[in-house]
Amino acid sequence: MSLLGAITPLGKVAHARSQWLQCVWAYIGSGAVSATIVGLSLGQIGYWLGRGYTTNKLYFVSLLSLLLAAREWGWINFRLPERRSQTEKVWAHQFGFLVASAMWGFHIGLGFATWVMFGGFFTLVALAVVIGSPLYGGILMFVYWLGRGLPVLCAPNLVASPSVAAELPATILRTRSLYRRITGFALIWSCGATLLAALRTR
Amino acid sequence: MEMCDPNPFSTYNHRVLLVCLATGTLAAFFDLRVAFLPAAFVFGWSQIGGA
Repeated sequence: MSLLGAITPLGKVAHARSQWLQCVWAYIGSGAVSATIVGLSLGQIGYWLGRGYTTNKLYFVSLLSLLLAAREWGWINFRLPERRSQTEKVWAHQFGFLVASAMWGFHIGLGFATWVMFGGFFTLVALAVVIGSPLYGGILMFVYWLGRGLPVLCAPNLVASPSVAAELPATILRTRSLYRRITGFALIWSCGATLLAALRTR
Repeated sequence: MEMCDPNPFSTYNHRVLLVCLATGTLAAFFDLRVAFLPAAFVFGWSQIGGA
């Protein structure tokens, strides 16, 4: 679950606008913290495994991106190593919307704690480990999280009314194949970029 | 009758993809690490579809 369906309607109600803004920033801020921590950890693991990206490591990331792209395009089918659960909706009732938003952000920002759905995340995980720099891993996952958080911030400005906002997750899920293709394109790009880098390091 | 796409992000999806990957491609000629930052943004953005 993301905040798109849970609090976007608040952003369309004039008197709830400040509450919505606080929730969104709590969500994005806490998610940025957890995503960065995960990235730092991945980079540190890579550092322990052996610093510096070699040709073979880059070939591995390239091949992984290709496999994941093939999955997104429906050419092959395999399960991603993901935890098949959503974040906890009940937190909103237990802690209130503001604290729950921060908790949702932190939980989803961890990446591995909820559904991943699309394979791009695992290319980033592999790259963070292969590069072996905690700083780079942190920055990489932080930027990934910005991509996840920005739509939540923009959503109320793109929908016409609170009722349309409430239907947003269902509306988007009907176009899930589009996001699968976008991920597929970006994975093919990742395959090419790492292949190019591998050839240059030979 | 013309149907309107109800997904409010539909205007931006392809722009995000094209701008980020174009930026990443330029950066890839200099530094792979920098090149992957726009791609990471795309991967995050596309998670809208897993909402």
